[in-house]
Amino acid sequence: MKKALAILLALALTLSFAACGGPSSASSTPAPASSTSAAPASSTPADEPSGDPVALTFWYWADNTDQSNLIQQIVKDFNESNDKNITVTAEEYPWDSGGFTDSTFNAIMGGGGPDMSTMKLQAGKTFAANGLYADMSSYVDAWEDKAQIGDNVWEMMRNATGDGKTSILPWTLEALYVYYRPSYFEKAEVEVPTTFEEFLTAIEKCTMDMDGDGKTEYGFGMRGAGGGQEHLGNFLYPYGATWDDLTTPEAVEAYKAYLSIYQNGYAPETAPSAAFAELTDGFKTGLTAMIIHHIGSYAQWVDLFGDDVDAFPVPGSDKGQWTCAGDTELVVYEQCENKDAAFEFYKYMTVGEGGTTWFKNTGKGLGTSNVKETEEFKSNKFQAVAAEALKSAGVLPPTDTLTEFINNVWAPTNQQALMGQITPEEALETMNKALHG
Amino acid sequence: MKQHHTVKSVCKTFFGLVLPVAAFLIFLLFPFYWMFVTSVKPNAEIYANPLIYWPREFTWATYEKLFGYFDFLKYMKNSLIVAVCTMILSLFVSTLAAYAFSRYNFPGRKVLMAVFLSNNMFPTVLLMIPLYSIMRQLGLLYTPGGLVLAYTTFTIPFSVWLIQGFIRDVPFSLEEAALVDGCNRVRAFLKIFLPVLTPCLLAAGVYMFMQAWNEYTLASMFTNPATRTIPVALNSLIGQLGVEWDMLCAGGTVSVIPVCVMFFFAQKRLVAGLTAGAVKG
Amino acid sequence: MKPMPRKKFEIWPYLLLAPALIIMVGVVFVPVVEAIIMSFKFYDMRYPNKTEFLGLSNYIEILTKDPQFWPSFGRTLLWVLFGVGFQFLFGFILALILNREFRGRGVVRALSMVPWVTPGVLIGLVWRWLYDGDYGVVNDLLIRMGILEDGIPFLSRMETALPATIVSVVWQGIPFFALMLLAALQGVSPDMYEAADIDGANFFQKLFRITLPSIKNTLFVTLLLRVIWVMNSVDIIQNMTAGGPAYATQTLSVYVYQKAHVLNLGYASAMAVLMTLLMLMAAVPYLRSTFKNDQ
Repeated sequence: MKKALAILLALALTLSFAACGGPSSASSTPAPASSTSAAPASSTPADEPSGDPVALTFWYWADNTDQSNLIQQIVKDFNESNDKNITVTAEEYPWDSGGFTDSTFNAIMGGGGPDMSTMKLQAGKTFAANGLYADMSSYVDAWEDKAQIGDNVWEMMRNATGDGKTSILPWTLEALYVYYRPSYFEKAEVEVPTTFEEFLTAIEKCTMDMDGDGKTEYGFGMRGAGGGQEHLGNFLYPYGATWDDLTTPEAVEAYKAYLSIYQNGYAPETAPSAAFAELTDGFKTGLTAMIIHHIGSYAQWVDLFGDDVDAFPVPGSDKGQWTCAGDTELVVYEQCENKDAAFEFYKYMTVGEGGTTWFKNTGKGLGTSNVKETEEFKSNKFQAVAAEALKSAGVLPPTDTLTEFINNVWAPTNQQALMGQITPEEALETMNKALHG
Repeated sequence: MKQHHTVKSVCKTFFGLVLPVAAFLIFLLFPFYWMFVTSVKPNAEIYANPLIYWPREFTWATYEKLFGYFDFLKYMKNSLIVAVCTMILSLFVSTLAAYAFSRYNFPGRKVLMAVFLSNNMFPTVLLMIPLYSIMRQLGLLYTPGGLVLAYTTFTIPFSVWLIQGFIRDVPFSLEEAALVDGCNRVRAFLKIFLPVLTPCLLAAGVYMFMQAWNEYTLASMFTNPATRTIPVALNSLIGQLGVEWDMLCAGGTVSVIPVCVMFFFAQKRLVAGLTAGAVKG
Repeated sequence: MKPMPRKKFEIWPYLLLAPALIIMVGVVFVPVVEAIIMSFKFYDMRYPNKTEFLGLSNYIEILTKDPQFWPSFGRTLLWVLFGVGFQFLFGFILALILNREFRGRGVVRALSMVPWVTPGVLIGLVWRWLYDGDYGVVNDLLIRMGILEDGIPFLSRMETALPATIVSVVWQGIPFFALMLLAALQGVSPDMYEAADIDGANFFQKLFRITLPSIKNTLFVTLLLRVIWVMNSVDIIQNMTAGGPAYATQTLSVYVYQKAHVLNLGYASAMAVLMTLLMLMAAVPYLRSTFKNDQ
């Protein structure tokens, strides 16, 4: 009887593993481990193969289902059209409010992971410090279309890794600007602001009952929680402060102006916990007159409001002007064995057909000539504002502790300041310490 | 419900049964209800002000998109495979272990029990890199098998404890009687013990199933687009540009309903095991 | 093979335990040991070259210098006490109701499981939406019922954020308790109730003299396991408030998660070890009573 039970046990174990492992191994897609071999393994050759077939894995996140299918389509087109016999397998991973970079990092550290992926500048330092990125400097320097992308952009990429190499390849940069509702402006009798002072006045004046339901609508959709640090920059520079030191009197003055919007009731009461969802929901429901965001959301506003939505760059003053650039970049990892092929794919995704398709459908790109020539670029009023805003755009200083500041320090500290638990000076002190060490 | 409908008994049924049941159902189901109506509302109604509690206009377009464009059935299938395998494997393994813990006294028992318990206390986020590496070496990365193995690891300790707790509540006299009758241990286990334990094993099984059905962190690391499970698929609907509420809610609704239907049929087994018939070996 | 416990040496229990042990040790043993070793090091993936052995300094820093550790610990206690407490209370009541025979019982049982089936990703998000101060359903309902005049931004206020997240975790956890206790109730012999009925016992007498003692072990185990689970849970809080506003909902597990998220793994591991020790301490009284009963 003992024996019988033991056999039964062993059998059940094997069975359940076979049942689970079996079908998968049959239907599995190329595992990342196998992708590192550039040998003629599994890929099907393109129409006119020239050279050995190359297989690459590319991990990406998509901001919605349409974009996910779009990327698949672009990659498919690339596989069919490239003359170097390259086959890219694009695998989607959820953005998961930044969890994407964690998964990618963990996978590569654990010995797997992709050849290429999408990337955020803010994660650059960590990946570079662990030597995970391939140095693409020589490829970029030899690239005939390099000049289509501004020098300041390349500079930004180099700064993000902090090792002087060009490892992060720019893909899309979206400067933040203000979306507003012209009908609200009309009702509040304000003009489109051209100075920072006017901007603050507009926020104040637009705080009124717009739709006649007896409840107040707010001038400004404030993002007090995650992601709101980007908007702080819009306030700092007009007062003569910079990201380099948040403890200066100018910075304090700027931060007080920011806090007073909430404390005077010109922003919804939910502002301290507002992240992106609350920000956009407020604008969608007509609760707020203005929000700060980039080109990525214009289509939904136009869908929703038609003509009753427009934009302007966040104004500056004679002391300065700054806006944050949202970004998605591409990177090639050191473990990729065929970097030539990876760079081919990168070119396709920017100045090539892939970049054009991506721009046409999302409005995002780098303003390269293939993009500027499209009808979509010329006829979109928001693109003009975005281009204008990009002139004063930058990113937060890529310090070692930037991610900690963004993920763990900004929101609670700003929330404490908004609710008056700590003084603006104390809050800025904490933030400065988190950002610069 | 009762044969004679006196006022008193009607009152008693109302306050003792109908009211509490209704209160529980409203509380437990309201968020789900909201999910469902959101999934069938046209976009303009989702953000309407004042709120719309019952859609003026139903649209099933979201579901068409979910099953067509988004291919949600694939994720459901993956989740089902993983959840069922996890359930079977861990139920089997943990019942044996729980039986050992509760019916034998052996050296090392206390230590082992404490080890089992503490296994679940350590946060998984910190184990990701080595776990990934282990899965890769076992060749289980991106297969349902890898996910099953990972889940089993985390469900076993929990369910061993759970089941041994159940077993302790089952009077020892039951088996003793059977043993006196001349049954051997295996026979006693199969004939006496299992029938009595069925409701408990069912409950533990449901726990394991749900755990695997809903887990996100491990699934996001150990699956790829082909083997992706429901939670990961749903999470990909939350991008930087906001939440696709209609799709997310439709996906949520669809992932809840089949499990509830399955549970409806399974719960019939959740009846008293201690009936006279079951006691006789 | 006949007599039950305490024999000289039995191979059986080890055989029965083998599969569970093999799976567990094979998969998590190495990662956990690695994490414990990390906790004694400066181990921050942002500075891979600076990794060095630190001894106990991570621990000392956490316990004496970290301004967030003890407040987070306090919030964890509240979160567990109220979260599990109410889950248990309502779960038990629901189990008692579902144990009665009435028409439609099967449907009610199945429907009661809904919160548990709902994917965790959705729970946080949906509740965050329900609670919204401007267009959330909770506020809308309270205003319609005349309880409130103006909406409360539950998740943006210090004093309401933690209770609001607790309601969500209670909502999610009721079915677990209901199901486990319902299963345990099946083991209570109906004869005992009949005997008590004859003696004229009322509902509470039956509850405390028969029901509770008969399911005592299940009761303790489910409570213990749930405490561990709730203490460790991250996704609800992370999705609803990310620990905010101003740390008002930051529990230890959320803190560890956030530290691990920025790849300060040594520090996060030390915190995780401390958290595990705290949980073990909470488990000790139960372990003791379990082992005492065996003697």
